[in-house]
Amino acid sequence: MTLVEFIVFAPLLAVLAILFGSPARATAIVAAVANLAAAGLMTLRFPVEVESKGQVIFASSRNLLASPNLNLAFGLDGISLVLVILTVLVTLAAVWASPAEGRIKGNVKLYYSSSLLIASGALGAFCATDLFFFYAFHELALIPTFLMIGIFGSGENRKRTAWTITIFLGVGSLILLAGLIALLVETGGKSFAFADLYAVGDKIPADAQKNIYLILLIGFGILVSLFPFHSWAPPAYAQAPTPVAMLHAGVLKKFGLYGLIRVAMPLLPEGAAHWQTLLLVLLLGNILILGLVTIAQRRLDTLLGYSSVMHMGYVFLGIASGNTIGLHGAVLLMFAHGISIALLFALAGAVRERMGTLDMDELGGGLAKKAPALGLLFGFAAFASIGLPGFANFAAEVMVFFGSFQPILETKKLGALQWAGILSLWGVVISAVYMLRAYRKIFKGPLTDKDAKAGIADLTLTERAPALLLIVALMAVGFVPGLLLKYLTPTLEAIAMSLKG
Amino acid sequence: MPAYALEIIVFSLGLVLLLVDAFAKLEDKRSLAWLGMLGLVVVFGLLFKVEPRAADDANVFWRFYSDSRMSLFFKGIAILSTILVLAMAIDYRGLIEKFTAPAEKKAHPQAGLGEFFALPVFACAGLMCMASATNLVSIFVSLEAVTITFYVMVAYMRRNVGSLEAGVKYLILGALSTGFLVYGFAWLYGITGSMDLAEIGAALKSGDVSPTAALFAFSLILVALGFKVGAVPFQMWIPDVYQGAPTPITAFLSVGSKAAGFIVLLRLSAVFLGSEAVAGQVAMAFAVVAGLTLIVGNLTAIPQSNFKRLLAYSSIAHAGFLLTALAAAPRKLEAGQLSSATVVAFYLGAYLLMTLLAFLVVGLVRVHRDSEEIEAYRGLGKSSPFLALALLIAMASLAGVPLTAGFFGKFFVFQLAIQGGHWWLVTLAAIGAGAGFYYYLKVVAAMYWDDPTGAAAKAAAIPVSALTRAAVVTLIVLIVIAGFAPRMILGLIG
Amino acid sequence: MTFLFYIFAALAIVGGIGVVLNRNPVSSAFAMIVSFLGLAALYIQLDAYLVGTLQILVYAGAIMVLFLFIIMLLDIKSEEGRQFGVFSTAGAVVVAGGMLLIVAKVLKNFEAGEKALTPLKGAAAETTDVSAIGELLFTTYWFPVQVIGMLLLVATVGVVVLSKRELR
Repeated sequence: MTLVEFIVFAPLLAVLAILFGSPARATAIVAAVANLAAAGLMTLRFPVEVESKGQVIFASSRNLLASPNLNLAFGLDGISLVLVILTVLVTLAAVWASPAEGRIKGNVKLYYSSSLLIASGALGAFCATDLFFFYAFHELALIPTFLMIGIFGSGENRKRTAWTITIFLGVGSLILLAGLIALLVETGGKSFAFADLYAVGDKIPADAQKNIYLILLIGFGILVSLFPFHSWAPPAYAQAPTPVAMLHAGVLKKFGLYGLIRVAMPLLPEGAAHWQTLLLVLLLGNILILGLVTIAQRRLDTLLGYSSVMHMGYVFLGIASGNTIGLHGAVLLMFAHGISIALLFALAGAVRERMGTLDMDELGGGLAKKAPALGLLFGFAAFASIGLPGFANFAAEVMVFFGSFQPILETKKLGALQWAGILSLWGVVISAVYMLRAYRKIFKGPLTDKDAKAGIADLTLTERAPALLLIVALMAVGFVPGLLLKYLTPTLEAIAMSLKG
Repeated sequence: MPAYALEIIVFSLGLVLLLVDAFAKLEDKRSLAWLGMLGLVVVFGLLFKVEPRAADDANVFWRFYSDSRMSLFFKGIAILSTILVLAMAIDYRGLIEKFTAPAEKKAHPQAGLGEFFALPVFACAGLMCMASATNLVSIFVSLEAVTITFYVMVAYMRRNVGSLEAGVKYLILGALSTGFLVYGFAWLYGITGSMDLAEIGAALKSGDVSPTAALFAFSLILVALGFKVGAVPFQMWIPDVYQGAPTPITAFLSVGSKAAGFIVLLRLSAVFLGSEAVAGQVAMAFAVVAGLTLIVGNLTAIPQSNFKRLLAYSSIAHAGFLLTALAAAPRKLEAGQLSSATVVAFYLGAYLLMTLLAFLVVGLVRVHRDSEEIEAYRGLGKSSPFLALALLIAMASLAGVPLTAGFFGKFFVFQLAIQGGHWWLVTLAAIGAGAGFYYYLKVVAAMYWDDPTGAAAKAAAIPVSALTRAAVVTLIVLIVIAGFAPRMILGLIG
Repeated sequence: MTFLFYIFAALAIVGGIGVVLNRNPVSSAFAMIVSFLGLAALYIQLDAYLVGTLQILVYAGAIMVLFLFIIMLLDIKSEEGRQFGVFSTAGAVVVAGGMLLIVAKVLKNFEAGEKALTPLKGAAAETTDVSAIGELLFTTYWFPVQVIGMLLLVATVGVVVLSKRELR
């Protein structure tokens, strides 16, 4: 049992324990902390292991099927490590931020188990070195999300939203499956292992590459809410219970982006080059069109939902650029965005619990006077999301924009990628507008509705802890991005090389 | 021991059950079911001890009977489904008693029950014969043995109009399809001069046979077997018959009868696909039928509000997936590729696990909540969490959520289709699977999201006997393990 | 000889149509007997003497008599005239007509009836076909015969279970 297998299966064991009667919240927190410790251990040992074992460390492989060659194989490299750190941090925060057992009206076991199942699914997907389990683990989150939004979601439309997200993600994953199988067939169909696929990868004919890449782009795109397949995401995040929203928007969404970087780009470089313009157009849709839609939102939860969809556009820009710095920015932004959006949803959940609504007009203003800690933390989160220097988001977005301009050094003229970069810059302005406006409307200004807000308590210590955890992570990486970037470089450079060649 | 000893043992077991029922004064006829289950468990164990026949054994018997790994696998499917059907029948006995002879409850309680436990054993023997049949005569005879047993079992609850109507519908349409089958066999015999599948295959391959006549024979056989497995446009009987029959028998029909139909279809299609002259058109016929079945099966399941009827339509959809595997059969099998027959066998193995699990719960809900509507499942998550979890896993597996056995089944089918370049079929299969997410999760939503309504609101948790609990847990564990390690099932297929 | 074939084939078909269209059950049963007679004659034309004789003895003689007994005992009255809708009739005509066309086309492309049937194994000049068939059934085909035996058992059990009178 390697560390990686432990980290993937520990939440599942916790779920079994909860099923058989152990106290839900305690078990979940223990599992999340254990995972955090394991991730920390892996990070510390990473440089040493890479020296001795090469690119992929903590690798394990259990054969499940001889032909085609299917293994329960896990391994860790730089990208996976960063995403694993993201996942364990957000999982701990999500479980911590879940209401106490007494305050949940309904199946407590289900409430905590679903966070653990989603976490395990994400970890399995990020750590898998086998195409099959990469796909299969991600689907682990489907049913828990369906149940959680339907039972514990907020708003009268929650059942319909639960159906929408499940069907959308279900269809998206089926399209993805078709693309992955086509990829498998093109590479000979004998093995699912990443290593074997990479070995054969560049021999796929160009036409097949273009078709398969398009299918994968649509499949992953639906999962990541790329414009125009985004409509499932904002209502789902708005109406999901807090831990589910944190895990979905923060962690699970990154699966599609990870898939593009890990699977689609290295194996289908010509396909990626062919469809780059389409991707640029769609990501601009995410940033500009959905950005403007976000400004029009009147409720904090839908605003955050649309905002998270909008920010995916930047990650896509980094991926589309295909060069080292752009890819670094993309992965770092995955981390930064994941943490910041989880933080925002946790705090929004706290506001909803206290005020009963997230409609900005109804909330009035001046909440910061009654709950200063909440206001302060939300301020931090808002600025992180906008991309203020000092937070990881800034470092990441800067690298993404540099990446989109980097080809100018050779081509000496403005191409599609550069124009996309220029237009995306306006996204920063847009996000500043809606985020700051939301912050001002809810927290700042004179305290309205004094009687309604009389009984509002500030964040308790238990509630502050997860938020602080996430903010510290954001600021640490924000001030010293090298902390994470150094792990990414070897793998991403290899991918960038294969794209150029 | 030779393979045919298994059928003999199962048949004798059936006889023993009948005799014990007739002559022993049993207090509680459940012991008959237990006897049947234990006997079948022993037979299942003996399945692994079968010795293949000696290479020089030229007894003419072996022209009618095959003991290949595939046959043994399908025998295993038949035995397992019968064991679980008997377990379900024990829970269902109250309804059987009520609908066979209510007047004599005081004088002769459990009057009709003994035969209800014995008949599935006979059907099992018939299914096992069908799994091994390699001659048109033995195929036909075992098919008839199974079908007639099913006619009786479907109409068993003779005081229930639904059951009787289902039986009559099944009888009439089944007889019609048998007519087609015999006509097709007659043509096949006429043009090739032999009833033996191997000789027929050789004759078709040699090219002496007129392709028109061969295709005509094939189309007649396809009509008959399409009826049996529920392919469009021969699927009209399925919803009414599945809904009217007693729930254990519906489960048996859904799994056992379908498996038997498919193994015959596999054997016969192998014969036709081996001949160059007709292979292309045969494959196309399969593709068209598969595509139609995928669409009709999945789309008609969506508006259903009766859960048993929904499962009936979904079984048509699964037949569509299986037919896709047949339609996408590769011309040349490369190393490391799964053959179409292996994929079908795996899918049926997985299908057995998840369908029987679902029907176990359906039977219990029918007995204790007296309804098969989806409404009756509302709030089951709160009142009977164990059953709700079992049904959740069964639905997830049927829908094809990864890390369950059902996903691997669909995965292998997709893989075969993509390998063969049948993109239309892949698209239809994907649409079908997507639709499946909706209608399978409908009952999950009812169980967990809604609160119970009406009488169910005040009802207690549904009691689950130890036997059923053991069966449910075993099935859940097998479904999840097969979802990780398909080798578990594939290894058995060989 | 083909002339005789057409007569008996017509007899079989007319009898079959009579079974379906007759409203009186006794008339239907008799029409069925007529149909069987035609079939038996066709069997004999194909030199399948045993099957032809069995058709008369067993089917027409025993089974149809049993049918008539039951009709008589249950005193089944005539059926009221059933109305068939336009769509059902049209559908039936289309399907049956289509089938007829297909069979006609197949027969046109394939010279049926040209091949000789393989003679029964072990049919020496003196053995009648009854003994030849008997020998085949219990040597080569013994396995299907046993399965049919099981089938008959199940059918018997089924009949009893579905129709037995309730005991006092």
